[in-house]
Amino acid sequence: MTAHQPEPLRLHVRDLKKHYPIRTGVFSRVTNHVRAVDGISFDLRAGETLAIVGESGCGKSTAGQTILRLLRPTSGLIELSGEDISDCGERTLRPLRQKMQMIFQDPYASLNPRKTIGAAVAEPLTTHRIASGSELTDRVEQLFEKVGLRPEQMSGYPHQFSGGQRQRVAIARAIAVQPSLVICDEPVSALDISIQAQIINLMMDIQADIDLSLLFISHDLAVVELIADRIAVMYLGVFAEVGTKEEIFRNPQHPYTKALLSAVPLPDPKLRSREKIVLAGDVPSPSNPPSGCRFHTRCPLAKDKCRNIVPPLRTGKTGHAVACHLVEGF
Amino acid sequence: MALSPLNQRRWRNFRRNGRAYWSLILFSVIFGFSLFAEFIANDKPILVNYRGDYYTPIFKFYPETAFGGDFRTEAIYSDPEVKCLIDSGGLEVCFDDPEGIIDEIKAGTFEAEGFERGWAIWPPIPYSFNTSVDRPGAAPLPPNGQNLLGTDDTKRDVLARVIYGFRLSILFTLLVTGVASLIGIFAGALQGFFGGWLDLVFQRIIEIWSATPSLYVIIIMFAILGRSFWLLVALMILFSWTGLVGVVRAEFLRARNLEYVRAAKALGVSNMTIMFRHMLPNAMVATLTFLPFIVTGTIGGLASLDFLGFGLPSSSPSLGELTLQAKQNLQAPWLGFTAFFTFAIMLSLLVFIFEGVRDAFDPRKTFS
Repeated sequence: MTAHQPEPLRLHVRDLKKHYPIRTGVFSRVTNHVRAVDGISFDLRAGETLAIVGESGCGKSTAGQTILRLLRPTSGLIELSGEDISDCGERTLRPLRQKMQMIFQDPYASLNPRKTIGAAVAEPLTTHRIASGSELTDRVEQLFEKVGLRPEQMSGYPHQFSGGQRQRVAIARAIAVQPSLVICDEPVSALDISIQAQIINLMMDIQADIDLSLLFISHDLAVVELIADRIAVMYLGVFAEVGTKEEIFRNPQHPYTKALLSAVPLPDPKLRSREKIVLAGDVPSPSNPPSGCRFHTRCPLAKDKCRNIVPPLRTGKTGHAVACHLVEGF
Repeated sequence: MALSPLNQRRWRNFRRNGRAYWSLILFSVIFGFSLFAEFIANDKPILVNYRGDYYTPIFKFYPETAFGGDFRTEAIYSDPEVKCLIDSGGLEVCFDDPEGIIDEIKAGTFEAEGFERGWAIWPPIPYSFNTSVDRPGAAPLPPNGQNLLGTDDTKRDVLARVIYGFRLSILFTLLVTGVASLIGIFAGALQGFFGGWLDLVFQRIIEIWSATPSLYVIIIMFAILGRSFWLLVALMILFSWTGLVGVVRAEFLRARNLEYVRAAKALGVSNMTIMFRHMLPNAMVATLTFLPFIVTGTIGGLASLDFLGFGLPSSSPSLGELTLQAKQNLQAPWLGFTAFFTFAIMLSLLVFIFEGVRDAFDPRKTFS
């Protein structure tokens, strides 16, 4: 494929919303909604990695689970390889799950404690009737080798393994059915720093191997810098800024992105003198988001306009998109 | 049958728990023997040799005329005349002095025309649960060599009744607990997994249902339909399946939001597979914790119905009825002691076994 011809579109998300009703009173009247995800749009191409970063509670995990249709979206469009999956039922979804998989944050919780890790990796293969009998064993062995586990470990139970090994099992399970999209929900944040790098490298190797699209959800910018091609910065259910990794790290536009980047700890003490933007206060409640720009309550640069008018996500010349009134000509 | 590695581990863990393991062995032996109660305590011989032919009275009906008697009704094998007829080969003289002739045959001094030595192999306890013991004195009679645990107030052998009663209790309990647990686990799993309206409606139904006074319903149903074993089984299942719903539902409610369940969903595993292959094994420990209570509760329920006189048909061997007799005959302590020890041993063994099973199912439990 030439550089001019874009890779095929794997995931197409438009104005995705996930609201949770808040019920109160004797009759469980719906009085308000928690707007966990409040209208996000992006495209993900084959072999590409999009990272969604943001503080805890900004809705990035909900976004991941909604895109995977573990949750039913309130509104919006999700297309997986051109197929609309935003509103179809569980039965139609089941065969489609072969194309999209998930790696969860906590490898201690995402593996059934009563199944051997071999059985865990074999399960997607038997569920989608891809392999059985000795072929199944072979496939599981190959997968074990691929993720750097020894096939003899197949009969062990999750509690006998370390966090890194378990995450390897989770990766083997996710890639068993050769999906085209894997959503990683903070896959390394429960692991030690030294293990994190191993797992990230493993995921990048596998991605190059089978032309995988990754949606990488994380709060850790250092990890994101390693793996992402493009980054979407999420704040309170909406994207504040979307751009390539280089653009976001070298040329951040949105004040929130700048604040996030300045909070990344630097290993070099000489560089510590750089300007730090410390955000005051907490993330506002997603059930009652601020009017206008959602970030204005904490933004050091907020103007009157920001308090009243919602800034649209405007795309600049390089494909860099920012939702801020104060950013011009980027 | 090959056990999976997991079940092998469970079995090893179970064996390592000495109390549970030996309880299981002891219980299996007792229950195994009680399954053959007809060969242990019966008022019919196991095998009869009469004039060179073999008879098996436990399995087949033989009229008295088959052994040279007068009646076409079933032979009463414990009757001295029938005994004499079998031993002597059906001689008419047996109708005059059966005991004398039996003694003579035993001594080897009996001689008569047409005499053919016959024999009968009796079970170790020559009484069934409903046989009246032929023994002088006012019932209940105290234990002696003839009745090891004495007799009850209608002169029936207590040991024979305990053996049959034990078997009946256990079979009844296994049946009721088994079916009730299956229904309860299934209902609880559905409710916990799907939640929402289904859960809300079913919980209310269960609340109403478990508030129904079951003993009254059982007594009323017995009054209408007559007492029978199967009716009691059905009614007990109807009222005990709700016991497990709460635990299983709670476990499923907790587990359905766990990440491995979400992970299975994300893999495209079907709901039924998630429920019964992923979640149920993890809910099993809590479920098994409750099983001993259901088992002992069912045994207790049957005994209390019998004790009140509303249980199984009156002729059936029942430990509850024995308890009632013990209460009415405090001057005959062997009744009370027998009932007490039977219940105590039976329930303790079951509780020990289930305790071991529960521990063996816990994957994180390590044994030193």
